[in-house]
Amino acid sequence: MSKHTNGTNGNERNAAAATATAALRVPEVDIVERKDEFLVLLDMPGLTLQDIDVTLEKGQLRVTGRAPARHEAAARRLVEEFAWGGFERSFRVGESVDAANVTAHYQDGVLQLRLPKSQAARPRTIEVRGS
Amino acid sequence: MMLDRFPTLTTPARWRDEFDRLFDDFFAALPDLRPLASLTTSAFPSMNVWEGEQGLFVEAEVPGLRLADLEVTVEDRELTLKGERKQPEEANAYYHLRERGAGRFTKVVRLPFPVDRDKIEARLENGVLTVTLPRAENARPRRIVVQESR
Repeated sequence: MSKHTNGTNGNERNAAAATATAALRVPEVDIVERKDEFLVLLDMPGLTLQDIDVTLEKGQLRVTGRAPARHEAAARRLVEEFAWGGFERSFRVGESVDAANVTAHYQDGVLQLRLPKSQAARPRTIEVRGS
Repeated sequence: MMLDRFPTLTTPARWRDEFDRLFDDFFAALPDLRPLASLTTSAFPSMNVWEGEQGLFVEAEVPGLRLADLEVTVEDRELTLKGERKQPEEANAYYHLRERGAGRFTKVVRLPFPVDRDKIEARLENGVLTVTLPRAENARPRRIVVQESR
């Protein structure tokens, strides 16, 4: 099991976000390396497709999702564990990724990115011949 | 294989009882004024609860869950949200990063007033569950007319 790279857990992040409503939260991520692709899963609930931006530029993959302003009826807050506003997270992408063929898919609040490996980075089986 | 990978911020049931009792004593004279916030039992999912004139509005972040993975129940004065987030363990794959939690969760919210059970509505959209719980008729705020003395 991998540990969090940024040294905080989701709740700390959420608590921090709750104090500054406008701040974008850092979504929790799984990065899975398969034989011929990387799969990146980001928990970004509450967005619609139009809210999500994925850019890959100069080796940096950047994901932003801004949640639309939410109506808050005249009400009393009893529990506030997460803030609306949106998410943002960036990744460095090496040359092992075929940047032209990255795809993104959003369903059930999870953004799924598939980054195919470049031909050079794919595993190759070398045929062993007898003499 | 299913691992419980949610943060271990769970409150043991035993503590909850203690906690309840503490507030029971404290609010003994004011039976309906118990605090609501602290009775959640697991860190996942993150939740917001609002109280309005019409009732209670609850939203929970459950990315990756479908309706079938969720169970919402209201009993006595508690709203319970139960579920399981399944994460298939991939064979022949290497996890560079694994922050997203998986496993079973239970979260309990104490309701600050009686609700009309027949009119509870739950909706799941883009990984956010919203539950609206209208106040029971006898729990609606009443305006008390202040009369001028003549």
